Amino acid sequence: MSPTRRSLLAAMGALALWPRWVGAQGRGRRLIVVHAWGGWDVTFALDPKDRALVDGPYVDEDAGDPSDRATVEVLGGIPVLVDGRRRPSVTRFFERFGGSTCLINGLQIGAVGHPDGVRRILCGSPDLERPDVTALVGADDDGGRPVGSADLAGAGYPGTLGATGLRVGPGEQLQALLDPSARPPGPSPLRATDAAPEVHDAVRDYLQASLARRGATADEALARQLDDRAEALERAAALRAAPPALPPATTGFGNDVARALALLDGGTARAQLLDSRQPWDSHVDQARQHDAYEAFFAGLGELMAGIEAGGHDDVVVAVVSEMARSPRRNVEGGTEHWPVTSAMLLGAGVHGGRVLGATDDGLRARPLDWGTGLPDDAGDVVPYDAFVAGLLAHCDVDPAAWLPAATPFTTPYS
Amino acid sequence: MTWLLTMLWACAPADPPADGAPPDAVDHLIRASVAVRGLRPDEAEVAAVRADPGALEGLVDAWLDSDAFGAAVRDQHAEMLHLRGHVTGKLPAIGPLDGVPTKDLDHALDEAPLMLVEDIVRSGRPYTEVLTTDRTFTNALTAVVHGLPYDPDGPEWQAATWSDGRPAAGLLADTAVLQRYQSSLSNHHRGRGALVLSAFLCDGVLEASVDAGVPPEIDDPAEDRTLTDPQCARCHASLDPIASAFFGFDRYILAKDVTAAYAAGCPDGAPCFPLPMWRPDDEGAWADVGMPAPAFRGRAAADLEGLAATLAATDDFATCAARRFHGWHTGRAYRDVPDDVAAELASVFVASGHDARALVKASVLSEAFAEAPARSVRPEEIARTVEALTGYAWQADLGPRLGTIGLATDAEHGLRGLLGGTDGWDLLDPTRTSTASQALALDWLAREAAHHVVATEAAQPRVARRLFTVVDPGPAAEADTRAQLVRLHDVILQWRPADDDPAIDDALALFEAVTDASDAATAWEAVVAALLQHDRMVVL
Repeated sequence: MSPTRRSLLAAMGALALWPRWVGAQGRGRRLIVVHAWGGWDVTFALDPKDRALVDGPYVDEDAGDPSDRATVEVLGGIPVLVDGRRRPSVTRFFERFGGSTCLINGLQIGAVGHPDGVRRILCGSPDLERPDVTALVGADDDGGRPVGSADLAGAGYPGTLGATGLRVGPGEQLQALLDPSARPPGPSPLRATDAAPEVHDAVRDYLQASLARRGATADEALARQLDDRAEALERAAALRAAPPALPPATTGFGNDVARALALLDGGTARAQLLDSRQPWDSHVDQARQHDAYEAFFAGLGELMAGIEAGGHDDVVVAVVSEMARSPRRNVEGGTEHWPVTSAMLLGAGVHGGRVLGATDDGLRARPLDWGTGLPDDAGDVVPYDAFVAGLLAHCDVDPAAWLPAATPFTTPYS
Repeated sequence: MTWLLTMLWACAPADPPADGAPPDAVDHLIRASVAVRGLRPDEAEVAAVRADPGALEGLVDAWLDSDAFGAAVRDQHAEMLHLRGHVTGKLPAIGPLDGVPTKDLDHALDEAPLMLVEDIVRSGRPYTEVLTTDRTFTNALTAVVHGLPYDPDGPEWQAATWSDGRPAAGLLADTAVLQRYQSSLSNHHRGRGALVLSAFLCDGVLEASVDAGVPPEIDDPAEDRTLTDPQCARCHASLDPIASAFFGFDRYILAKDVTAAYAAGCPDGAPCFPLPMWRPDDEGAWADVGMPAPAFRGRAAADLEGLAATLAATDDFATCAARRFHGWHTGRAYRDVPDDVAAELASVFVASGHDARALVKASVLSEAFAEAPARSVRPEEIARTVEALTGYAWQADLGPRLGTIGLATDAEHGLRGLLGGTDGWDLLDPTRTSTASQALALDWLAREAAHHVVATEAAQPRVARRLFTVVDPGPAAEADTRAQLVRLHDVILQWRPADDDPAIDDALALFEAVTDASDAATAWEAVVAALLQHDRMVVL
């Protein structure tokens, strides 16, 4: 958050003088968080277990076909359970990006409800008002970009930092906001054409002057709302001045990947939140995890390839899920929520080709030496807040300001 | 003559505020009006309060009898129940509904339970009926979906009674609500139990942070840890007996299953319309899966009907209703309503016989409301207000398959989420600050509404206009332009600054800048557009 800048501008009554963004690069890494909402079954690929210990993907194999067997292979330094028949994209992903992936197993979420777990892994806290990590990173320093953060998932927690960020919408909403020609027809023939830039500027200056005048005598709560409105107007103007070249909307994770890459290329936001758009919450029909892994890792591969091709070497990618799945299938062939999960970090400053942490045979988190990341009974498990605090620190955001009780887990970056 | 009177009225100096800010009474009026009915007050209402601040109470009474109040009640409960915008539980327009635009069917399914709430609230029936009535509401589409009687010559929405024998449990027995809160076989209706605790008792079991600690080993796939693990049992002890009361209702009916049923010719028991949501043979099946008997806080209930009646009679239900209504009125989460405020409003509510109108009135006339922190305007509120002021309904035509949507109220194809609203599934909490996406969306709405109203009023005689009563929307002398600007502030913002107030100076500067760049008509559009997204419109 940058209260000093915003407060200063408001006090000056001169928010209209806010610089017009031109996509300049600021300090600090950019961040993309990809959330696998619902809880992935880590035993399908990321945290392989012996088939005697878990049902995992094994019970879907054809017992009469010896070639139908998932096996553990070390890809890019990372042991992964691979199944070329059902989840070939997982294999391809780790073959290409395993060397730049830091996999963390045994991440202790501690919650078994979705909302609670989501807040923990995205915000580092169960606190209902705490902003998520993308909002925090984007608000701390947008680097001169139009907005600090962009929520493509639709499920981010901006908290008090909403004015710094942008909700993108599930379809072509942002295109319609920025380009009147992309708007759907209205029932009335009186669709307005877009105003000339000088009209936009004149209206904005008028609105900012009014905000400043009203803010001068406002109480604290009103002043905060007016301040946010002033900032939102400026960020909207910056977006209008430098609109991202978003692709036509499709569906699924591939849609979000394409849009995320367009926002990266356009220098629109410092941080982004995506959702994997897969049905991980498999209380019934656990076999759907095969398809979810396949589709998700295909998309994740496209995202990483796009980041690489775009030369966005300042981008760190965190892939998280708010929980995992219980080791045994239930009577409906599904699994229940499990409070220990895995996460992946890739990209800028991440020491890849490694697995940090571990789970035991019962899929419980094992303590580890935080210096090496290796299991150590004398060490501590890695809790969710340490993971988020480490990510904040890696993005040059002081974690103590938001997560004072957390010890940042920085091993993935060393 | 009328024209002259209008001119004189519009130009007449009236109770000039000393500092250019609206008096507190008018500010309270505006906030109360938006809170109660999602609309800003009209000129007569403002005049009444300017003359006598005590007039607000009578105005609130009048609003409680308005359609706009009913719409706001539906808005409030849609957010509370997460009913609008999501796709979960929606159904295909198939069979007898073939050809119906998807959005029309989605809208009907979402609105039916909300129409029931509106009817209970507006009629003054005890609000407890949201949990105890055997009625629902239906339109022509939901009548087909649910197999309810419907008079095609009657009003669009009609009261109806479930005829399949389901418990009389109001919203808890409503198919649309049950479809939103689906349950897997292993989850035993717990999502529905959590809805009861959260929505009607303000016990946010799903919002609560529960540390599950170190998970135990699970070797028996049939074991339900929620029943045996003490860490889990803390919440499940209250949740599960409520969940058991939902046995008898189908866990869910998926759209793909309906499509498959029609493809198969609708064999017996298949999920064709009317949907077979109530299956009484399953009512006692909780015992088969190790769930506890239906009960609420230790008091046994024979079924969902008994459970709902028990919890509706509790103090916590009344206090939760007070939190929910006052939280809505002040733009806060229910949990952020101070305890003493909730308790005081709950006592009024109970004393009135659970008349929600009394609760609403007490809420918006309370000191706590008048002193509540500023908040950002909601999507429904800004769209409804702009339509009332300009006649412009902000809609998009998505073609014959999808139909027409309200851009401010649809989250899937519209801008509801980007305007700060919820989508009923991913986005469950409103955004309580301004955002860039909200700013862009408001600019779109304001610009189109301004274009519409300026063009419309330019073609009308001045006496028939609402906004341009001083000048035509074209070039004018500065004095007349200033008077018209005052008029626009008064009608749109309920704020009547002096014609030499700095706010009018700035508006004039905007008018002149756009006139120089374009023409006077465009400049009036810009001024109206600016006022429709003015901070007094957006930050309440």
